Amino acid sequence: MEIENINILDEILPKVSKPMRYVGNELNSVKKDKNDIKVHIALAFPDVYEVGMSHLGLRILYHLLNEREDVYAERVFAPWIDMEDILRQKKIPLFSLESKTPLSEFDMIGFSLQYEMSYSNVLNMLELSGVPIFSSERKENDPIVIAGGPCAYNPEPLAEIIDLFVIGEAEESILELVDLYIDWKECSAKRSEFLEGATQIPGIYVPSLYRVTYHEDGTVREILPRKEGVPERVKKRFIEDLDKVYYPTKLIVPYTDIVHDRAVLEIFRGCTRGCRFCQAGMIYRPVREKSAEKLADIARKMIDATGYEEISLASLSTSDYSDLKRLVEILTAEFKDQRVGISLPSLRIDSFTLELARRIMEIKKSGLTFAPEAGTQRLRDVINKGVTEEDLLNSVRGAFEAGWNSVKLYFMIGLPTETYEDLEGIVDLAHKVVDVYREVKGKSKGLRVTVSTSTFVPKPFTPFQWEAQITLEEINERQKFLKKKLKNPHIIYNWHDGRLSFLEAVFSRGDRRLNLVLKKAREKGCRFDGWSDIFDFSKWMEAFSEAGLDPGFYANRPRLEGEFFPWEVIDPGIDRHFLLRELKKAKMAQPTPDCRVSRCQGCGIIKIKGGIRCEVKNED
Amino acid sequence: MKLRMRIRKGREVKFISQLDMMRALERAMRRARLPVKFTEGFNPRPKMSFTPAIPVGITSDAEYVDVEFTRELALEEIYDSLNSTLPPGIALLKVGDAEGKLPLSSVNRALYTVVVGLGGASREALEEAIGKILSSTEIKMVKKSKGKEKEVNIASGIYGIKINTAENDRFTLKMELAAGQDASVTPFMVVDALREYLPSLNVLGVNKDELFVFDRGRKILPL
Repeated sequence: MEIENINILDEILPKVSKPMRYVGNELNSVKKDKNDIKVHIALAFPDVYEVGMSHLGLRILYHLLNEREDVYAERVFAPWIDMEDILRQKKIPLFSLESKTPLSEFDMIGFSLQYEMSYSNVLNMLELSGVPIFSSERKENDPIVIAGGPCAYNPEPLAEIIDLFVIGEAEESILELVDLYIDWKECSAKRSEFLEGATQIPGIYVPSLYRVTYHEDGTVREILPRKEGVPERVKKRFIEDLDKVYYPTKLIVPYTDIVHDRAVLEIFRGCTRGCRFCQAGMIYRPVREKSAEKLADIARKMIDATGYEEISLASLSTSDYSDLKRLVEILTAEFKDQRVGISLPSLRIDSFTLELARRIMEIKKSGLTFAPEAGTQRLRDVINKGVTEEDLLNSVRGAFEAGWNSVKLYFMIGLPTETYEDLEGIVDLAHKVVDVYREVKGKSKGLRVTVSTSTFVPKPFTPFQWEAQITLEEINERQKFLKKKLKNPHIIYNWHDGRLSFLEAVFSRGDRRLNLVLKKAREKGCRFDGWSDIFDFSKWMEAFSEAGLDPGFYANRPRLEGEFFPWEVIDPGIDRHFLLRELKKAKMAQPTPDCRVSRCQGCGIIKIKGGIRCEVKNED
Repeated sequence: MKLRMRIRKGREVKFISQLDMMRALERAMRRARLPVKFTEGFNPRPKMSFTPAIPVGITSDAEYVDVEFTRELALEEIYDSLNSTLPPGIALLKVGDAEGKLPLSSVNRALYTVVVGLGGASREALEEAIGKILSSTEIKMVKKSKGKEKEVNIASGIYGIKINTAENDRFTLKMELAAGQDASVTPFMVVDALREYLPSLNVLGVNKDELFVFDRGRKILPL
């Protein structure tokens, strides 16, 4: 089959755009003999190569799994529509990048779920592989279909499609799962026995072993195990000591440009800022840092193995790393002669970081990004975004003085309690930035202020999980308002398609009944929904109506305090009481300080595993 | 010191652009810890210059690049270390001093191996088509560059087309074509021209074998 495919590839590749997406064989990619291994895993990313290869989680798991001699992990990405057409025409099954093996011949296919609007690609990739879409239709010899990533924290919309979910950080659980698979394969037992066995590994959710019941009003009554011994709630996994966990240094170096083509150095996980809309800030707790020494060592090995010209520090909020100044000093000194640049994304701009940024970044190459998220202090207090207008304008002033002349401002519209006064606030803030530039430079020539708004999507396991998203009509109205008000030669206004935000809101807090909607949408041809030129909203609306479901029930319905949520079959270690307390404080526009600089706010993470080291000042 | 390298672009990388090639070489040199000289300024780039870009989709044994280093290096050291750090598909074939050699910008001809399928046509038909092309003084082609289309006459840039080997329907041709800053004819253009007489012809593979300066009847290799 492989040889066949490779020859076919020679014929196909000249006909598709960006053929390198399908070639593989990059530096540091892994080649193994399929006869020498026990478990063959396809790491599937439901988007194109350039997007998937930029994802750190995929790279970690790829190299981690391939460290084991008995495992061969390969990559597969969603084929772009031109390639998909050819695969369908020529009846070529979707194949892996490394050995060009059809996906249906793998032991496991593991999907990375980063974004709700990539779900249609998950279904399409299974379809292109000839693997049955629904878990219940798979035969003994079909691959086990697994999934992980942030969207797996609400697994229910894919519960009938994915055989098992890996919840939380997977570095340990994936290896335990592989061990279980090897044992199971040797006893040549049944597929169902493997899935039952997997429930005994903490952090593994096997949806087919849970029954969902509903109330008459359509809300979920409960989700309970069908069998004894299957845990009632699945606790997320996390790595306690990041200095000890595996981190790849021999990263794959793509031949062609990808979205983020650089050496990525993960400096810490978790965030305790406590922004009330932010799921990552809740589910990735507790904060765990890597030591500067460990990071310097990893960085050296990474550059030696890749030759990358840039190291990018990765985390949820770079400036919160407690040893940032020293780390940057170590790295700049180490790599000065080799001309390796250091980049600091997700930086909260203040006087300290601005100085840092000025020292190491190329001025004017790219604009600086600020994320005030909301236009008024009241609304920023509601969402607990601890930034004041004064902070922002001071930072912007500093940036202009340092030579930047292009800034981006990110906001959300439709946040809980938002009024048109808050939208006016966005307009005012943008104009104040223009004024600051005039004050600094004496003119406004050359200035570019980009204002981007996305629509707020309520996410599971956040204080706003009870809140409704504003309706699609209202999204359009508010965008129209901003479009009208942000007419200034120096201001560019970008907005995110409201229909996509609406569907995101449906799936992010969806339940098991949505599996049918996904299937119907796929049958109508939906895929690459996140790509505006391909997205077809009307097909989705048809899919909902055929499935007899109202998308507004999921997106636009405020939830009652006591409602059981479908995602609550998962336990992320954050207390529901804490989230509810935060919601109530939000309604009163009361901020909650960061527990790393004030005191423990009782989010519940400290109780996980009987008490772990939480980096808080005064533990309660 | 300024060195000249002859580089192979193999099957694995035939679809990458020249920019990708340059980046791959730059990264390989960093992995090999070679002391490359960089430009000054905010966005330092390695001091490298390449021969003109070839169309994507073809392999080559004749990509040349001049690279400047901050100190003297043994040629064998560079040869060995780069060949162990270059990614699959890219290889250093030869390295030598660039001082005193013709500038890379002066190359004007290339020799290609072009494998074609006749699509059922006869050898005689192919020979006839080649003969017609070689005797034409005007062959109009639409050339796309930077989004603009313009009509060019490629006849004066075709110096020779020979049938090298033949196996059933598959023929291997050798083409000597203009390849420089002033004029450049690609094998794909020539095949398009041949198709006027032999519509069933299709390209199966192209390799650039040699790149050189042709000056008053003499062929001078860059290295």
